[in-house]
Order: sequence, then C-alpha cells, then structure tokens
Amino acid sequence: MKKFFIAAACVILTLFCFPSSACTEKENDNLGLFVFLSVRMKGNGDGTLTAVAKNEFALGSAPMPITLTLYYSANHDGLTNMTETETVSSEGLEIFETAEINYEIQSEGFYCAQISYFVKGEEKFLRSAVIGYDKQGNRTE
Amino acid sequence: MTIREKLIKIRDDSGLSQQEFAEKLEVSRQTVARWESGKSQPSSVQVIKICKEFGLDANALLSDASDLKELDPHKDDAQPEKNSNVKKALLPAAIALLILIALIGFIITIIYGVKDASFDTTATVWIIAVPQNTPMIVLSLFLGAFIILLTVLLIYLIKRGKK
Repeated sequence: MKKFFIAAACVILTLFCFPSSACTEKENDNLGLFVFLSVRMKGNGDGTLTAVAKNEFALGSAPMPITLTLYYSANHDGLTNMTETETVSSEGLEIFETAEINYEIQSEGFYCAQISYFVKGEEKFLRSAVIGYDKQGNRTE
Repeated sequence: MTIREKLIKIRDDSGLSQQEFAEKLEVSRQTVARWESGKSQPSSVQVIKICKEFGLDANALLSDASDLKELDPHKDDAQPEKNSNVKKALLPAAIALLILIALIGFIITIIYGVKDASFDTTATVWIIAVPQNTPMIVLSLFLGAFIILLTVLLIYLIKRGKK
C-alpha cells in the first residue's frame, strides 16, 4: 500500500509538472499552470443588466488582464452585428476577483457579455449566450 | 543470567507472589521456591507452560543471555502487530480520502450550480498552459491517474481477499 501511494503521488506530481514545464515565461507572462475564467449575465428586473467576469480559480498564475464588454443588438442575428454598449477593463484579475458591468437598459433587445484575454500573445474571447431582455431587464428569450 | 534469576524476574515483572505464580503454573509454592533458590529447575513441560503463560520464547528463557529484555513477552510481537495495524488502517484511510475528494467535488459542483442558476447565462473557460491549450489533455491525464488508482486498489483488495 505504501508503494502504491508513493506511485500515486508521483503520477499526480508528474501531471502538475507536465503543463508547467510546457509553458515558459517567454511564451506567456501571465499564464501559470491554469486559470479558470467565467462570464455571466443576468437581468435584474429593475431596468438594469449585470455582466460579471470572474477569475474563478488560478494556479501558479499572475493576475489575468481581461476586458469585459457588453454587446447589444435589436435583432438576434449574430454577434457580428451587435454594438458595444459598455466596457470595463481589469489590468489583472486576481483569483476569485470579479469585474462587473451594471448597465441601465436603454431599449429592449438582445445582449451578450464577452471577455477578452491574452494567451501566449494571442487575443482570445469568451462569450456568453445572446439573451433577449425587455426594458425592465426581464428575460424575453 | 541463570534460569533461577530469570524466573524471579518474570514473577517480579508480573507482580505475582510465589503462591500466585505457582497457581498459574499449576505447581506448588514450594516448587516455585525451589526453582528460585536454584535447588531445582522446571521440567521441559513446565518451561513450555511458563513460556505459554507469560508469552516468552523458550530459547530466551533457557539460554544464558544476560539481557532480560529478551524475556520481554511483548518485545517481538509489538512491532509486527503495530505494522499490521498501520496496514489495516491504510485501506480505510485511502477510501475515506477518495470519498472526501468526491464529496468536496460534489459540494463545489452544487455551489456552482446554485450560483449559475441565479444568472441567465454562463460561459466558462479553462486556460491551461499545455501546447494545444486544451483542457481535455489535462482532464484525461487526471482521469487516467484516477483509473490507475482505483485499479491498484481493486488488485490489492482481490489479493487481500485471496489471502
């Protein structure tokens, strides 16, 4: 049993070493072993919309710079036709830290929250679903 | 150390009187007194009985070894018994650990589920520092390790069952 646990510990350590050795500082200044990001959106029912970006969990990484953007479109015809309504940036989102947009709904339509971040110098995006809201901030679709 | 001295030591260590010692060995008090005075020695049958009653090694009792620790009835048995207890405790500990990990995962999943339910939409991403940047590689490695862990545990249980 002792040997078994030593072997298991070695396997787990190897798993952690493998990804960390694959990433050098030159390739990415911010990314450590891994980062778990999320973007959420909800209508508050009081005429406002909230979009939240969160660094859910990170291991061995520096704060993650992100930009949270809220998009709007009158019709549900894809993200390309959506217009930017509000943006908030964070120079470094620490573990468990959030960036938030509280948007006062101007007109009924479709909204989508997006965060952009950089991995190895390349900009990447994480988008929420496109959700329809009325002027009161209640979900319509 | 002579057998006479060893017998006195055994009796003293056990906190028995000559009478009690004699009763334990089903001999008379006088017989014990004669052994301890060196006037006679226990027969081979009596030596076996002494060893059995006090958990001693007959060789240690009959040898001229002066170290009385050799007569310690718990000396030889204590370590293997301790090791055996540790081995017995390892399996429940391993199972308890796996259950604990599963339980923590379960609680975290519920917390996230409840949290997500309060939003209209949620999107998440694991950014992992592997060349292809795919969480599936790491996930499969973890699952592989978990399968290996369970397989080894199963093999151990089968071997233990055969014993």
